[in-house]
Amino acid sequence: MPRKALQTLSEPMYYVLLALTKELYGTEIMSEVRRISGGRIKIGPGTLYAMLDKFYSAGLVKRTNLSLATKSYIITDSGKDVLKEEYQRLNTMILDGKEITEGL
Amino acid sequence: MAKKAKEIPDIMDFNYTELTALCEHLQQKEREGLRFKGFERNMMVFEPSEEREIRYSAVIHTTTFLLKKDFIAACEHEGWEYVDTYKDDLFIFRTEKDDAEEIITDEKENFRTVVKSFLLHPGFLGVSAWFFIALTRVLTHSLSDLIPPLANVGLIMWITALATTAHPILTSIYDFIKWYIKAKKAVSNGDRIPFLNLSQKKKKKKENSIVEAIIGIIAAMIFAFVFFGYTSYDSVFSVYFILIIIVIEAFCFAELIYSRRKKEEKKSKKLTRSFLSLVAVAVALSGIYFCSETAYKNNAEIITNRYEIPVTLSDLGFDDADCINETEACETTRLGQFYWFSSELNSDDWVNIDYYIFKSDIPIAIKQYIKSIEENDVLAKDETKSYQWDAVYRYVAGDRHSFLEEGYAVKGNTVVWLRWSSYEEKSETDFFDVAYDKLFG
Repeated sequence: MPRKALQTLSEPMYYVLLALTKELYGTEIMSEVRRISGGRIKIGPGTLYAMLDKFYSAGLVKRTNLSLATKSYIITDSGKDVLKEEYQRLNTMILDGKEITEGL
Repeated sequence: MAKKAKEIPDIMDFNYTELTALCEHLQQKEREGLRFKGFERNMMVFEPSEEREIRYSAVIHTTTFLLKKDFIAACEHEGWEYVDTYKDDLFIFRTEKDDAEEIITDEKENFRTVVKSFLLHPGFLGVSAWFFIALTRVLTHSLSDLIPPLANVGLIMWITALATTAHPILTSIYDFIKWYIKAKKAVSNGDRIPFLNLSQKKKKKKENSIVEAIIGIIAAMIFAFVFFGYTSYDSVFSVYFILIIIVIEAFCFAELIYSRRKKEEKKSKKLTRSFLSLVAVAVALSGIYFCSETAYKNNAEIITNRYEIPVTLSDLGFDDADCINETEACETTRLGQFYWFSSELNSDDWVNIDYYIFKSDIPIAIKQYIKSIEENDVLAKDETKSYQWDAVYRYVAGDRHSFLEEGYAVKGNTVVWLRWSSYEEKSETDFFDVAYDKLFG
C-alpha cells in the first residue's frame, strides 16, 4: 500500500516525482528539480538517493538502463496516481483558503 | 619505487549522533597536516600531507550496493570527493570548494535515516542484548548467592558482564535519547539536526571516564568480596581474580588520566594507548574465561542441586533453658542458613555424597547444630544397637569428626556435614580428608 507510507508528500518529494515524469538519472533529477522550482528547491544527493530508495520500495518509481553503470529512473503508474492525488490535495487546499485569504 | 607514506591510525570512537564532531576532527587533522585516508576496521587512518583548510561531510546513507555507486557519482558531480565508507552506511566526503552544495538537504529524512541506522547498528544491538541478558540473570539471583563458599560462580560471571557493558550501553542509550529529543525538536522547527560537536564530545568523554572509574571501583569491590571468600578454596581462582581487578582498575584510571591529559598527549602515544587498552581487555577476558573454567569445574564437582533454608530456634531444638543466658540468640528468629546439596564427587571411588552446610554467626547456634548432628544422626542409632558402630568409629582430627559413612567439620561460622553411601578401598578418614580439602582448600 504505497499511499499509506507516503500519505502526504513533502515538498522535495513532490518535486522529485514531478521531475521523474521523464526518464532521468541522479544528477539530472537534481538539476530538473531546481529548474522546475525556479531554483527554489535544491536537493542534495544524500536526500535524493534516500528518497529514490523509498519511492522504489513503494513502487512509485522504477529503474531503467539497468545494464549501464549509472541507473535512470522514471515514475510508474502508481507514482503518477500518488502525484495526481497530491496535486489534488494541494489544489483543494488552495481553493479552500482562497476566499478567506483574499478577504484578509 | 616510490616510498609508501607513513600511515597514522586513530581510534574511530564517533557514533552516529556525533557526525559534526567527526567532521571537525577530520578538519582539525587536515590543519595539522594529516590527511584522512580511510577506515581500517575500527580505526581511522591518516597520512602526512600539507596543512590545509578543507571541508568534510559525514553522511549516514543506507543504500543498496548498486545504488552506492550512483550516490557517490552524484556527490562527486556536486563537487565532493569521496573518501571512504564506514560499516556500509557512514560515507565520508571532502571538498575544497566553498560553494559545494550540501549532500543532505532534507533534515527530516536525514533524521529518520540516522535514527534507524543507530538503532539497527550491529554493535549497539549486540552490546544491548548482552547487557539485558546479564541484567536478567543477575536480577533473578539473591545477594546471598555471592557469599562463598556457596557463591554461584555463574552469577559472578554475569556481574562481570554487567560491569563491563553497563556503562557504555547505558550512556549510549541516555545520550541517544537526549540527542533524539533535541534533534526531533530541531527538525520540526525546520532547523538542522544538532549533531554533537568536538568540544561537547570532549566534555562528554571526560565525564564518562569519571563514571567508568567509579564503576571500576564498584566492580572491584564486588570482585574483592568474592575473592576473599574464594581465597581459601581455590588458589588459581584467587590469582586470576586479583589479576582481573588490577587490569580493570588500571584500565579505568588510565582512561580517566588520559581524558584529562589528552591535550598534552603526543599523537604517537595514542597508538601505544590503544595497544595497551587492547592488551588489558584481552588479559581481562582470558582471566575471566580461565576463572570461569576453573570455578565451574570445581563447582561441578561439589555442588549440583542446592536448597537454601533459613534456620530458626525451633529447627535447632532450643528450649527455654538453653536460651536463658543467650538473650541475643533467642531474640533472633533466623539463626542462620542451612544449605543442602545432593551431589556426587567426581571420582571413580566414591558414589553419591550429600552435603549439609549450616552457617551462623551465633556460636550457640553452631554448638546446637553440632549437638543435633551427634544426637539425632550418630548416637541416636543406639536405639537399634546396630548403628552404635558409628559412635565407636568416631575419629577426630582437629576440626574434623568422622564416623561410619558420615562426618562433620567446623570452620569458623560454617558446619559441614557429609554423608556418603558407599566407597571402595578408602578409609573413612581418607575420604573425609579429601572431601574436606575440596571444600576448604
